[in-house]
Amino acid sequence: MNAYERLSGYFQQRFQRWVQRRLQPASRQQLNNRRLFIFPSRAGFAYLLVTLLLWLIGTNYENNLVLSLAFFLLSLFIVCIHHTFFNLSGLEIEYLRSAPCFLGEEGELEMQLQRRSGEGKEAVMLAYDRELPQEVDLIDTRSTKVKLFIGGQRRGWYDPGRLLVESHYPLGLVRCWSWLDMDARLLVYPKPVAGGEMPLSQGGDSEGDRLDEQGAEDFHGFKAYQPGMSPRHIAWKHYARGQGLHSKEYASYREPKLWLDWDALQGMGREARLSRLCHWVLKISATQQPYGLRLPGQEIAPGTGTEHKQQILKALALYQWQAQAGTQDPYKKPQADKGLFAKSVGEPAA
Amino acid sequence: MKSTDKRYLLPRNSLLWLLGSQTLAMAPLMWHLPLWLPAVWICVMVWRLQEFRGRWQRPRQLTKVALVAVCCAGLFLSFGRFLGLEPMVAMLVSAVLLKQLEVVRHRDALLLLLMTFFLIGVQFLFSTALEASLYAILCLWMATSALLAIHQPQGHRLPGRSLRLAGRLLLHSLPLMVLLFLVVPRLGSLWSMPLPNSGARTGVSDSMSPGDFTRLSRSGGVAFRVTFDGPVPAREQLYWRGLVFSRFDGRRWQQAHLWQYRDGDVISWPRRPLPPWHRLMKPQGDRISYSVIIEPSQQPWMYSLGLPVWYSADGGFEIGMARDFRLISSDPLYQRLQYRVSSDLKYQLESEDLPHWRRRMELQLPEGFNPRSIEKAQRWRAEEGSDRAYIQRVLTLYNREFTYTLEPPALGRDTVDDFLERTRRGFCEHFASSFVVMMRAAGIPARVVVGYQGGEYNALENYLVVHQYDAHAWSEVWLPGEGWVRVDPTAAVAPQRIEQSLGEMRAGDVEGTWSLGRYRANVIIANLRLQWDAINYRWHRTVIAFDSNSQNRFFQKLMGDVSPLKMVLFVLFAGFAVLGISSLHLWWRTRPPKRSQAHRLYARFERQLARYGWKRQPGETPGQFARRVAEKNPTLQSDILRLNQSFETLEYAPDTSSVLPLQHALAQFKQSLKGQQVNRPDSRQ
Repeated sequence: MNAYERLSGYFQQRFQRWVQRRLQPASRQQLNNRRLFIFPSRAGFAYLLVTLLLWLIGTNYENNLVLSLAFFLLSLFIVCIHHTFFNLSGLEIEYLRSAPCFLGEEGELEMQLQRRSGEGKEAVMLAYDRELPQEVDLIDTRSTKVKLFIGGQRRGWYDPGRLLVESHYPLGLVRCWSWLDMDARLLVYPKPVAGGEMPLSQGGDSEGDRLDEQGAEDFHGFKAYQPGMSPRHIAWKHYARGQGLHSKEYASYREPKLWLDWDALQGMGREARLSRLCHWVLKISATQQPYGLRLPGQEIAPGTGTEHKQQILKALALYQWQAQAGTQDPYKKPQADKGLFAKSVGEPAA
Repeated sequence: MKSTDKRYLLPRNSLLWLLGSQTLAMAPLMWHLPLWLPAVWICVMVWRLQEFRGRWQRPRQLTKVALVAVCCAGLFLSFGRFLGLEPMVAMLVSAVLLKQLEVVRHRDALLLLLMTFFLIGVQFLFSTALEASLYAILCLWMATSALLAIHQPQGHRLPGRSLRLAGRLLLHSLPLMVLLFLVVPRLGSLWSMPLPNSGARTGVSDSMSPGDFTRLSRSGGVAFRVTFDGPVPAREQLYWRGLVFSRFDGRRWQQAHLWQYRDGDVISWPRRPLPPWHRLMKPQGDRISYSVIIEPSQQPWMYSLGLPVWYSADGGFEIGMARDFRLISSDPLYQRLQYRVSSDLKYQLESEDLPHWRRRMELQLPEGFNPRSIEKAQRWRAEEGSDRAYIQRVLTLYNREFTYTLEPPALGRDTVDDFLERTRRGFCEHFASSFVVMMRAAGIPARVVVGYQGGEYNALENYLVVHQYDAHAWSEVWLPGEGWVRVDPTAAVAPQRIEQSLGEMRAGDVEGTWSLGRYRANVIIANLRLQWDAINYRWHRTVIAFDSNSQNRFFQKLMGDVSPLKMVLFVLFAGFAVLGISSLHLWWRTRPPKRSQAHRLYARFERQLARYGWKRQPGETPGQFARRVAEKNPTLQSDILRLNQSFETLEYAPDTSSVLPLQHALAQFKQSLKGQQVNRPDSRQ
């Protein structure tokens, strides 16, 4: 490591520490002069170049009007800094909720933007992922909701990094931005991978217990009629043949209980097993069969419905998961696992 | 569409903004550029508009290449050179037009708008008149709106909003611009730049044939404006000498050839040794000083009264004195310029005996022209005893038998014979020309002088406006012992022409249909015209001519003696003040709106309750809140509900209800609170 690298590394560290101190995590933040950064954009530099050219022309031709134009453009630039700042300043951003996603897909984070009364906010760009920006106007309304997308890069509680709030409004000459830590979490399920047999628990019988039930549908057999039995079930054909009065008996079988089992996937790695399980969870949940999940040290009783599915997927997502040091964002310091308490769909707010 | 691309795409209507702002910025330049450029321009406009309407496709590669070829060929054929202002501007304009065809992304639009800003600046190289500046403000407004609109995702729905916001930006920048204009030092020309040379030549030209001045008098416009340091001299003194014609070919008067002068440099420039003919000038007092703001004429002639004894020009050009004792500029006048002159109205020029070669120059007449006039002149001179008597006789002839007219009949080959014997109706050039021929034929050295006569006094700003219709030709004769003496034969024919300008006498003939001067008989229009001209004049004096000297004077007036520390303090203070104003305005616009009185009273009610831990939850209506509190405090129930009732009445029918019940209810509520145990809300709330 040479001296330059060491020096730049040192300054980078200092800068990161400074940004961390300055931009503390919170799920509701208001943009103000502490949180906003401002600097000329590339267009701004081009504009200044044109201004300089005009000044040179004005000076050389000793033409006061060309000079005035150059001065005007410079003033406009300076005034623009104020306008750009005031366009973002006072904007309040609140993290509402996140919708989970599968690994490699795009998760959704919902934010609420709110402004104070007075002048509207225009052309505010929000993005976790710079490739997936959302542009928002708050002209006629005081608040609006916006959904941001970010690719789930790792299984488990995924830290989307800092939220970039940026605006070039009004003239695009100045960029005003902030990197907000919205304290947001995104649950990332394993990536579903199709293939193989359904990983069911060994020894579990596929036939369910018989269940006597009124109103069941499957014909089971005959029983000698006793008064009080429903006349509708009397086997009139037998009676007609002179075989006596019998009643038809119906029964239904309990649905076979499916246990998706970690151990059924021998000889595969952890993530591969989770992916396979995830695939079958999706597959089974499309039918009405109840299913359960067995993971080492964890068992979720069979059930059906969306909430059940989410519970199982969450178990898969968080199996043997630990928070990693934040790798997406150099500004963000690693945080302890408090993910389970973060707001997310299906959980009450902490 | 992938969202990544969306960021770089333009809002749909930005095309209209771009086309509009560009059209405005380019329009005034088109007068100075070859004709094929407007044609290309129209092509591009039509194509883009059709594209906008969804009728045509974007131009294909082949079309673009063809257009580039047309532009290159056009540039080469029209100019054949690269250096020079017009070729450069033409190239810039073609570049903008070609770029316009392929604007798709944000970056293209941005580049185009930066070029538009540049074009607005280029306009000023061709004209610095007040009208041009006002027009440029319009251009700037449009260009700023366009720049704003391409950054507004919803701009297409709110074009009025873009205009309004851009206007606000402009107004915010204005004070800072004025400050910069005042304090930024003027460095003066750093290197020489090509000057515009396309404009049509206006004003007096370097030759005179019959009919020239009649045409000139109808060309309209202002030639120059003059401010005198003292009182304005009498009208008959206001002969603005511009050129001197000594060479006659029977029809046309021209300046003498340079080689005809044999005593040193023909033009004496400042900071050069004085040529020997300088001692032939003998100023004899009656000095007046004045400054002239001359309109661009594309010619180097500078106009002055009498004999200029001192002269200097602002800006980077020089004034020289020609051998025939008039002023000339080092470069043709492509811009409005200001120069100062001190002249003596009493003077003697070449009062010593003329050398032989000079006499020959000033007595030259073409062979075989105007035989009858020459014969008559020689006869009359012989009959009269002196030169003066002879001159008087010729002038008397003009006075008695000639008519001054703006529509002189055409003249044949022998112009002077024809004029003196047949038509006898003429304009100033006919009289000057024939008079000089008569003098020369009689052996009196004489020459034609052209320039302007008179001027219109504008009392609003105390200056004189000289119009193109004031263009005039007169003559100078050389008399022994006196030198060159001005004789104006037109004055002999039509003395009123010298007392009054043509604009006053015949406004309908010399002013254009759209000129206010044509309707000056109407008092309101006459005033309006003078006002407008005064503003224009003031504009030039204060803004266009503001240079480092004016800067120094301004700061001396402002803070006594100027020191660097004072300057820095001034700049800092004024800068912060100016920026503070716009910031304050922005802040003021984002402040919360004023609450109604009902809300203020209700807030007081809430503050009272907050003392006991009652707080309205987010989303809870006042009604719900009131019931919640009342439930816990039965003793206060009636007061609280009454207060809430009157607040809601006020809130939903603010026009028909009064605020009094709410005030009473609040007072009553406060009364009830006193000495009352207020139950606190449940702890979980």
